[in-house]
Amino acid sequence: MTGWPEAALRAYVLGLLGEEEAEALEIAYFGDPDLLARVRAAEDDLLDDAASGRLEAGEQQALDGRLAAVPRLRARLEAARALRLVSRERGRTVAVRRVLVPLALAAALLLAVIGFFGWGGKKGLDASPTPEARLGLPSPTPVPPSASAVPVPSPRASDVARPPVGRLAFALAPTLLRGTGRTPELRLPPGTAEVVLQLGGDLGGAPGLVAASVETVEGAAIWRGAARRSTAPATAATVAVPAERLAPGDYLLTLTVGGEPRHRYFFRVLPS
Amino acid sequence: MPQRDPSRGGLTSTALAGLLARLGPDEERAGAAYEDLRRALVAFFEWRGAFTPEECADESLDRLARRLEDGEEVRDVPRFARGVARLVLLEHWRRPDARRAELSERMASPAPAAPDDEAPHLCLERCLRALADDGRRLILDYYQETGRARIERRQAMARAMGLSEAALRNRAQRLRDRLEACLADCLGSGGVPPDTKTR
Repeated sequence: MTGWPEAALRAYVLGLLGEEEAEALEIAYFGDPDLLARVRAAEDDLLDDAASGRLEAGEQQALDGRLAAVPRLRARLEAARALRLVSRERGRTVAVRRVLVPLALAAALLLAVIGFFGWGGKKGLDASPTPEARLGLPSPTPVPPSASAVPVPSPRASDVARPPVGRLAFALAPTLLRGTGRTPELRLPPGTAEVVLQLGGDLGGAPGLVAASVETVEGAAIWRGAARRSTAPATAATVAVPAERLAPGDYLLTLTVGGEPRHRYFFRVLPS
Repeated sequence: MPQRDPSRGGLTSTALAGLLARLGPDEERAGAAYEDLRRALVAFFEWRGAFTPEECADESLDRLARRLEDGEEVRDVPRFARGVARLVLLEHWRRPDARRAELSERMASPAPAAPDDEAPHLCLERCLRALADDGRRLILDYYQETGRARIERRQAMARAMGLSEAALRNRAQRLRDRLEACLADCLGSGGVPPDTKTR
């Protein structure tokens, strides 16, 4: 076969190409360094897609099989995941600067105008007593660790007038570069209102507001709000995320202290 | 030229010279072709799931050289090399030490990060900083996006840099290899990356 299509190269590195075609491809790349480079590039792209949670089910299954058998591939996947994180963080920093600098200038101008007309003596609008309230978010309630992601009913007097509340407690370990490559999976049964995430790690006494943001692995913002510091061992914080925000898909949660990222967590929400 | 020990595995210098002569018309081109073939063999064994790809690749080259020395008629070297590699792979699987190698490699693979372990992220940042500015920009840009957007981004990058897509791909791959090697070194030395500027 000549002119190997990308799909065939990708199937090959996943072990999904038929034996006859695989043999033909191998003979071809044994004599063609450029083709070998293309196959390697296909593997790089595959790992990047896996790091972004964009593999189709069949591909994911095939890759999981390979990851279980080839430790160095796991290390490469973690490197791809870290690389994607850094790429995206840098991209976002540039984008945020592009938006925030004109906004900051506009805000400064507005404040100057307000000050000029003598409206500046008014009390600020933000009179919320707690950081949680300032962010306009429910205050999360820490729950005991739960290894099995089973909904925990939360009978509180204040809930009586509200629709039935199902709370799902789930523990997550920080993910950076190392790991098993397996993404924690969470299934939200119907009726789940809140997902309480217990975030492993250590805040190390760092001062500042503890907050969490959830986004898809493609970088779309899903939710952000306050987190509560934890006193439990090896648990940095807990955070309650409205279940309605978590459609099936892969997510990245970033825990920040004083606005600085502290830990990151990957998780996957499965269809209920 | 290939850095091989001709005495290893009974391979004679004559056999190695014979293989090189078959691979290229002069010393320089033969050496480059030898390295290309070895890279292909290592990749083959990796993709086929061998636990010691480098060892298997060298064993395949040794056998290929010996077969040529024995006077075997080889019309198509890549096809022949692939055939030899397949036999080496089958033997590799049958060897009892293949299983031991698998276990030891699994045991040596990185453990999940401790909750307060920031070293991996620090390593990545440091390894990126160890790249030259244009290399760092290239690798961060090259691995952005997915699907069609990724293809278009890379085409645009190649145009902007005045390179063919293949040349850009090779450059990105070399950078990625170096970055991964740096990460492995850094993590293995407690978070201290090699302090070498590289492009």
